[in-house]
Amino acid sequence: MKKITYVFRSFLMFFAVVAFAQAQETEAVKEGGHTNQSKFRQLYQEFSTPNSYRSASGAPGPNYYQQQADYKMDITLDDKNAKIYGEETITYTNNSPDVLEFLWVQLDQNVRTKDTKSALRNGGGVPLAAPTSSFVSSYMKESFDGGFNIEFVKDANGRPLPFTINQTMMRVDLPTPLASNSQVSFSIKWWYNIPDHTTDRARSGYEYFPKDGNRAYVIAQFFPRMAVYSDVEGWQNHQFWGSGEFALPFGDYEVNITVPADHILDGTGELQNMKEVFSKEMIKRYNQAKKSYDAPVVIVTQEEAEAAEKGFSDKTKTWKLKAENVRDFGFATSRKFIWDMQAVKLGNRDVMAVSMYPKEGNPLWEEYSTKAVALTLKSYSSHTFDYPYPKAISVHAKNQGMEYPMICWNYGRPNEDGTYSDGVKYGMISVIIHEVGHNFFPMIVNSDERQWGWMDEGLDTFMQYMAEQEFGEAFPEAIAPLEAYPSRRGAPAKIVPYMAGDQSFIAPIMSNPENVYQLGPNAYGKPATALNILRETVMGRELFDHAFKTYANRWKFKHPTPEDFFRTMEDASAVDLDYFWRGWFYTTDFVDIGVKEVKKYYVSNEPTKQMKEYMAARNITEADLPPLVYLAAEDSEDYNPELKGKKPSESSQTLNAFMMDNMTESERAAVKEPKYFYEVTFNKPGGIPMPLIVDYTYADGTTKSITYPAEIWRKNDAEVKTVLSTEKEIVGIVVDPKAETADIDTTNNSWPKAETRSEFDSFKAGIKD
Amino acid sequence: MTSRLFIDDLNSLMLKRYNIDAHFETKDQHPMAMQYLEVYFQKKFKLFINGKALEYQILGQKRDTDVVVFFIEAKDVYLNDIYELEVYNALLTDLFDEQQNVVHLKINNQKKSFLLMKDKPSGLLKLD
Repeated sequence: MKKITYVFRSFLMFFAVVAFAQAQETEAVKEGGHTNQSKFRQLYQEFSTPNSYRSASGAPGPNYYQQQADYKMDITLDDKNAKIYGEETITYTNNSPDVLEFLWVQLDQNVRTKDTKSALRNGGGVPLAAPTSSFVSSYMKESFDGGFNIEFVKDANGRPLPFTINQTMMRVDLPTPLASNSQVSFSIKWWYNIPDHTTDRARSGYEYFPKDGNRAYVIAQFFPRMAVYSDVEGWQNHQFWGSGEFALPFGDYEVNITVPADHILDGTGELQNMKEVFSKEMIKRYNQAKKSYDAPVVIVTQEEAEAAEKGFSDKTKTWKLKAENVRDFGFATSRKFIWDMQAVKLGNRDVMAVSMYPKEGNPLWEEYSTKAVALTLKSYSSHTFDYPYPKAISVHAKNQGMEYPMICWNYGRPNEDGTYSDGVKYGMISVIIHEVGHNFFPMIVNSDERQWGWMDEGLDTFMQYMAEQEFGEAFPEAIAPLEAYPSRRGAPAKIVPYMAGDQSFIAPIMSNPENVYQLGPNAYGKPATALNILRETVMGRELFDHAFKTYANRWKFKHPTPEDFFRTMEDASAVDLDYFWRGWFYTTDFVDIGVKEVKKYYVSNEPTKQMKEYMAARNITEADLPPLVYLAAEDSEDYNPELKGKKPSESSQTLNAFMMDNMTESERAAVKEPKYFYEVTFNKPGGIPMPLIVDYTYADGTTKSITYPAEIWRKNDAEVKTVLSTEKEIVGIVVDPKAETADIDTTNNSWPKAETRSEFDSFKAGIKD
Repeated sequence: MTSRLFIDDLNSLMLKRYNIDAHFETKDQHPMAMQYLEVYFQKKFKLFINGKALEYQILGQKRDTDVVVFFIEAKDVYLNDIYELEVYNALLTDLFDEQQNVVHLKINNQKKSFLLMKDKPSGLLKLD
């Protein structure tokens, strides 16, 4: 967009120069034509063409398909050496109309192999001086020996299958191509070294506790997983570099996990052998928890966990989990875990809200984790669909905020003496809401995270904002003395510093997460704010909520694309939002609307000077004209102080005559006769067209609010004029008075111009007072 | 000048670097927190006008959700005489290798932003 505009402008200037140079001899060259540049044109160029897989309405089409990958796995944890060993059988169903010659499997742990390309993907120069620690980690340390060690890939009859590893993906070649609507089974055996996630910044791994010598494991990406094959991408082929997350097909999982006998474990799916792994006391407590709807019941107490962390069992236990229709699998295990649960009623079903945490998380975790999980399930369900899985687990892992189906890892650690700041508390509640919320986007409404970070992060952050505000309303004592939950993202003003920033560090929301400069505002904050503004300001809650719910229900347990979201939001609301998607999602434009000029007019009997010149030029007299009413501007020579405060019919004879001829006496008495006329010019330095929200204040102190639709900008993107006729004098005009549009510059929002003080100046003034 | 830092990051930094529980912007704020902060800023945040280091002081702070805003003032700056402004901002890069600091400058109606990080902690603005 930017580039086109620029080229277009230079083109015009070129002609202006030519015309000037040749003015004496030839006529001016006519301005050239142009294509449709309206910001309100439809997104036909940006959107892919609807087809039988994906309908123009935004719903799955009649031939929509998706692949299925079912897994049976046996996993063993070697706690002494922090290694995982696994063997799996994948049954892959090809529901596509295509014949597949090979399958692609994802090996995400390979992002940590010694020769990983991931470490080489960010360029950079030699710094003037390097801090010693960074120098050591960059140039002196032996890198971690991570990545999958694949022992075999075999077909259903045990014969080796040829495979090729390309970084974080593995191609398995099939001896006979997999026909449409058919299935293939194959097995893989592997092992890998588990990384320390606290130093490696991995999305899974262990934390080591030097005081008791134990590890707490939060394990994911631990098995070779099928890549997605779809109607939009074919085989997903964007490597795992570290920033972009995952694209995974749905399937059923049966996973047996063998860990030391003194470990407590929970993960995706329902436990199949409770009697083998729970003590009698734990089973009794679990049955209580299933009926406890208002407070969690502790299944493993802190005392029990502290006793367990003093030992190290050489025996093992196998926990058997089974999950249906999930896109991934994760689990957490340690002898350090405290465990609590409560039931949450959703419709006529009960779902378990679960928390697992080492004692280092207390007293914060026992107080708030399960509470936050339960609230999230209720809040998100009310805005989308009832949470369909049997449980949702929040596991405490230092510095983590990472999501998997039914389970997630969350940060929020108190100080060693058990005290914690408000920042730690709200950070912890927020991250739990966010990560549990990811069950909805992308675990169930399963967008392609590798391509579109915002589709899950942005939608989830928007939902998180609503849930946080609802948390504050549900538990006022938990947020006291604050009156509303201090949400970090979602409110329009919070995104202003980002959108006002240097354009060279901003990428459109519609960018791959690997290629953006500031992933937080790009994929989380800006889309969440855009949706919040849509809901509160552009569409209204009723239209927005129905459309958003429609999107969630159309695409639950399916793979939506950005267009499916954009189209559904319009399809279910009858609001054409193409201009909004274009401005907020496809460009780096920002919002800036101001009031530029206000002119006051009075009705006059005399033609204005401009009108007189118009008549003289055309050689016409007043007698030639039909009856006309004239408006004299207050600051012009047409103005006469006697006009002020009079009714229009008193000032204009022609108007009075017209009223006498066409209205009865009683009609004339009832007609409104505004005494003041204003022409207000609003300008728009920002690129995004937004509704123009204006508060007009009258001399008597009363206020009138008018919201002009965004379409007011459709014929002139730079400025618009509007005429107001009022009984009372207008003394003040404010654009976007409640700061609901993320306007980046509010110094131009008021008439008369209000003196605005910078944050610094207000602070300094405060000191002096 | 205003500087915005996440409270949690700042508290972690104070603990790791100076071994104090700073508790910024709470009733338990450590009595030495501002002194350490001043020391830290002078080390990690520098301004050079026309190549000459600028002296500044931190006037105070306020809280904004999960962020602390610090108010910083430098005296005797003559805007019309500036032809070159350099910002060195290595705040928190000692705590996080991937810390990114965004610096917005507005000077004599000219706007410029820098994205500064561990490997590239300085930005230079030349004025016409």
